[in-house]
Amino acid sequence: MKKLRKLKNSDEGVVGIIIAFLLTGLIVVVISIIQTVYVPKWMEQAEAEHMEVVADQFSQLKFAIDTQSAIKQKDTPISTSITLGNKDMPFLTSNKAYGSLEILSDECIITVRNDLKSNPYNHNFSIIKYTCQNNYFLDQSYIFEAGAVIINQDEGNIMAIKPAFNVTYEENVNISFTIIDIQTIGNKRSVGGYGTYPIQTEYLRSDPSTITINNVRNITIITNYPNSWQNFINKTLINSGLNYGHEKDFWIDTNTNMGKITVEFNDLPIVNLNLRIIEISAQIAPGWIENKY
Amino acid sequence: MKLRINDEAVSEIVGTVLLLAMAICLFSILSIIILSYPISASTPSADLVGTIEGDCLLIEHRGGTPLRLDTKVLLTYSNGASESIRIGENNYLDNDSKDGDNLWGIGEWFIYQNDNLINQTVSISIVDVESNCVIMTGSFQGT
Repeated sequence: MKKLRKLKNSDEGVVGIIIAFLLTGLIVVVISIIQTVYVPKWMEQAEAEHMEVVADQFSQLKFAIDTQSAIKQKDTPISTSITLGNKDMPFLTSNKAYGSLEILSDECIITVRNDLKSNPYNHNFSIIKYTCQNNYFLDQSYIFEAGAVIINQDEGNIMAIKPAFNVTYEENVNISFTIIDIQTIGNKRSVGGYGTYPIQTEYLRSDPSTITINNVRNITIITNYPNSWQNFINKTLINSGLNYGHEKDFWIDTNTNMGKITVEFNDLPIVNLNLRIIEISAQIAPGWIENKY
Repeated sequence: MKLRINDEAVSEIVGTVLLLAMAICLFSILSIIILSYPISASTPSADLVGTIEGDCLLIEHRGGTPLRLDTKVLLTYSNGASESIRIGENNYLDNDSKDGDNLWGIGEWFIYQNDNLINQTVSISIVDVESNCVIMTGSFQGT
């Protein structure tokens, strides 16, 4: 009892305890500031850089598919890769960004009507879509749709790489449009996570001849990214010398809610569309399932 | 009386006081340095593409962080003249950009018309005011 009272009243070692408290407090303050201020900034930068890497990888994917479309050589798969997420920071608390890469069927529909009363030309396409769930930087998606590469964010979308859509306007307007239709086999059509996954593409077939539709009255594209298509087609037609307006050569009706744009052409000048559809087989993730076509 | 003039253990007390003083000074100095360090906003990561067509400077936001309307565009002409414009001033954003979000976002255009742009080489820097960082810099030739 006497010993305990003596220990209670003793003030030996108080300075050491105060110093230990001060130093511990200092360390806690420094780590808190790094964790709450600097880590989000570093991670935002890292995620932005990762999105640039994905942009580069989608350019490579487009290059591979365009090369296969041009040379039309079967049984020659080309593999490109997409990095789905980025790493977190070592030692400090941060979240990984993860992503998914998928091939989605019937996401894009193109309909062409001419002045004949016959059935319109209609075709459904699959797309390749990469979606990133970022924790610090804004969420972005990269989409390969009908030969175009589109960047999508919450506020809108834009065509990063244009498709093979060319317009010449002399006496008549001639539009040539080469559409890449992505085909899949089995269940190798989606992957999610953080790592780098290959996407293998191979030329499958193309229509033996170009589909020619004369006296086109309108072209309708049903897509999840109508703004990018509307801006691209509008700019391409105007650059070829056509005039925009209801009383002029063409106009575009856009219904963003329905995901639909319609390019309407007036009677004159006559518009002819040359459509080429190239089928490319794509498989995601390692391994390969043979085509049975 | 005997206790007051006793100078035993003085060096221990002085040492302890000095140690305490040093710890407090170190804590204070480091706290002041860390807490008063200006924490700047992070630099926006945005892709911007610019061109001069006739008397118009066109810059398109092609993805990334939307930019604030107080973002500055600094123009330096080949004849030495220069000017500074804020993108939110004088309706410089195109009609599609006026979607009410008060930001310059993906797919939106900055359009600046000036006769001085014709046949001039113009150096352009775009500066984010909040982080005080250059987002884009380049040289464009007017036609």
